[in-house]
Amino acid sequence: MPLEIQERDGVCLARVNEEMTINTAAALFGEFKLLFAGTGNVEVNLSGVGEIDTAGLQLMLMLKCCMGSALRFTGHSRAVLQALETSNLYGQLGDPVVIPNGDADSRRNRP
Amino acid sequence: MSLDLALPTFVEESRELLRDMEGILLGFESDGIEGETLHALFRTAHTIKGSAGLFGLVDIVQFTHVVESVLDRLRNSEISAAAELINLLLNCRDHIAVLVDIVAAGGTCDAAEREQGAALASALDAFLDHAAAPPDAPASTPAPADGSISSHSGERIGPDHWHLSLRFGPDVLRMGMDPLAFIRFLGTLGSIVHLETVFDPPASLESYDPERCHLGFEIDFHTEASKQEIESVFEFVRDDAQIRILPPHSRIDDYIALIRELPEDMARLGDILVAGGTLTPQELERALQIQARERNSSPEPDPRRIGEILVDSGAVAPPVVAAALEKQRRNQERRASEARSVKVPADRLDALIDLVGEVVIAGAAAQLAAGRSRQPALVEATSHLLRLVEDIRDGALRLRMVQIGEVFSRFPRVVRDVSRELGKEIDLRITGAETELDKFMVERIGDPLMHLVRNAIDHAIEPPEARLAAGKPAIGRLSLNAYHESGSIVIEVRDDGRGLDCDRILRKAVEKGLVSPEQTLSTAEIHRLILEPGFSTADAVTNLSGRGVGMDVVKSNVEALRGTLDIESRPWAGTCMRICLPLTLAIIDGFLVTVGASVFIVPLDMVVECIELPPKQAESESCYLNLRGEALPFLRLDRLFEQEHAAAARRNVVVIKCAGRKAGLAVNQLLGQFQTVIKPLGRLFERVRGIAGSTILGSGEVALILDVPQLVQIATDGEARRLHTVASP
Repeated sequence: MPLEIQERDGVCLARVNEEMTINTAAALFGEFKLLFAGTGNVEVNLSGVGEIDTAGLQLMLMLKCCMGSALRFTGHSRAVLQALETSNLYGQLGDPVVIPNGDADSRRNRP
Repeated sequence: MSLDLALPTFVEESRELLRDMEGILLGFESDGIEGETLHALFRTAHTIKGSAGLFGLVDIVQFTHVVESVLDRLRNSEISAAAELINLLLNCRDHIAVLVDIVAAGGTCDAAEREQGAALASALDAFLDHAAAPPDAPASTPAPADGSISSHSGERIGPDHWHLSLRFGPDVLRMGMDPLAFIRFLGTLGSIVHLETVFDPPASLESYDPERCHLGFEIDFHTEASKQEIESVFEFVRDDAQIRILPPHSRIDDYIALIRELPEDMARLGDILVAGGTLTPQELERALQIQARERNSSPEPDPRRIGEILVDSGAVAPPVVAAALEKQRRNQERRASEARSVKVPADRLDALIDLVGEVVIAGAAAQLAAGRSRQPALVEATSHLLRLVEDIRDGALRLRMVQIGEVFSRFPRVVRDVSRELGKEIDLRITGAETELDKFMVERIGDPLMHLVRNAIDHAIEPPEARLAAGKPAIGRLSLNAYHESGSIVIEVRDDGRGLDCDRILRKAVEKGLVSPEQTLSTAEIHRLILEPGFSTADAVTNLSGRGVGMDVVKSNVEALRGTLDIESRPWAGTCMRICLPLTLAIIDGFLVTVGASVFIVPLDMVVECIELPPKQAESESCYLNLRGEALPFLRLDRLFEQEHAAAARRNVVVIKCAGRKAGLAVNQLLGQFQTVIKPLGRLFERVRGIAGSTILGSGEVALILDVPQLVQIATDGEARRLHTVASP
């Protein structure tokens, strides 16, 4: 499964376990759509994303755009951080990176 | 297409442009500055930079970029063209020429060149810095309510970085291309000052296609790279993306165009430009104002903006309009110049002319055969054919003709530099630059002319104080003149300097053993002494000493072209060096004469008339005959060439003229006009006096071509000279 989904305290925790590229974008988008249809708040953990390209970045933008504050990205992997830096999208997609929340972070980083 | 093949063209074009640049800069010094020439000046640097970028010649691009920036400011009247700036720009031009030469030689820049380039660039920087903070910076100037739009919308604004605006087509991702990767690669060319990702989301999650690209980037980019280099980053997506690249300091117009072209909300794009520091908020506001006003006030679209209008109305997919216009303009310019001239390799031209020469000879043979056959139809046909061949010959020869201006054009710079070096003021006048002569000659006459010009500045023209003391204007005058005269081209280098000092020349010549003290020489003969080898060494008469090459080398160079060098000098009034060259070295119209049993050819252009030799004159030993009251020196060719023949009863005199002097040649029969293909004489006959070449007659016989200038010289030098030559050949 590309997405590993858990639920805790009424928040849906999703972990991406594969690359976010043009090859997987369609499949990931399908799963995210299902996910968002059901629940309220979602946290997407990106620590398992080994590779990300424009399609992946755009997917993140689209999800963020539609979900707004109901969606948070966490645990950005190196690849994701680099992509955010290149595209100067920290502000929009990097919430925990820009506003580090030690508490929430450590909790979320535990599977 | 391999770019290497195009490299020689680049070198050639660059040199032409550099020549133009020099001409314009020198023009500024003498005639002042005009707007149009400033544009032309800017274009030269711009084109060189652009083409160099195409070939990846980083050194040229970097250096020319700085020059171009300064020229741009000059063009916009942000800085004034002070003498020091023009001087600096001339030096920069020279440096670019050096860089181009290095490219032409296939080498790379070494440390010395780079150092020089850096020194010049930093000198130029002063002009850039000076202009960077003008008191009336656009941002702080409120737009005048009634001010014309074009006046301030043409202002240059913005910092010195590029603005790139990228919008990718929907299928870019599906085609396996990754825009992020392009951005990363772009980062290797320079530094990204600011980047904004523009996301154009679909209306809802449902309509989102994850494989479709919805992204764009606005990038402020600092780099030394050229536009072409930046463009090349996006080479693979060029067709599927809108890529707009605004160079540093673009005009407000361009930013407005950019804002207007992009699909996104206008205000948002403006914000992005402000965020990147490309525009200041005030500039943005003004830009939007201008735009709004334009929309209100001009229902008629400005023809200049046709690209934008097309884009707005959706008639064309919005490509980089600015770039497209630029490209269009360049193509037009190129097409225009291509229409005017065709570049042909010289060897093909030579082959053609050789061939025409053969046709001429074959035609002569045909005519001869036709004449013998006594068939009127055949004679008529061949003579018609020959006339056409003549036209073809003239046409072919004209192909090789170039204007002597090509040679003259390098002198303004030389005169300027040398005269500054020597602290003299010299006014150079060039006339007759449009006079044409054979390309071959043009290439070879440059050095002798250069020597004469340098000599004139260096030695003939006095320093200002001496001139004033002698009652002459302080500014010396040097004139270069060229004109056609009886089948030859005459090039004059005239100065109003101190003239040749006959006494000193004579003393020196006696010292050197060139003449004996008892000899009495005419003024002209004394003047000619300076052409003798060994006369122009450094310790010779000071006002004649040369730089490395002596006058004898000039003379032999000119003579190698079958030309003559004349000196006309008056003490304290000036000197005129006159080079007289034949127009072409290939085919001429000849006049066939016989001397004894041999046939000779006189170049027809130099023939003035033919008269019968009076029997009385034929008997006497005199070298002059009376031509309508004029004393005409004449030569007995039969004696000169030892072709004396008792049988030839009737004698004729062919009057020839060369470089303003007339002489007669006593010959036997006059055979008439003949197209002559000049064949060079072998090495063995090079030294034969009075013969310039040979040709083949229709009958297959060989005829010798007379060297008219030399014969005139022999004839006019008179008996004394002849005795002298006989005594010491």
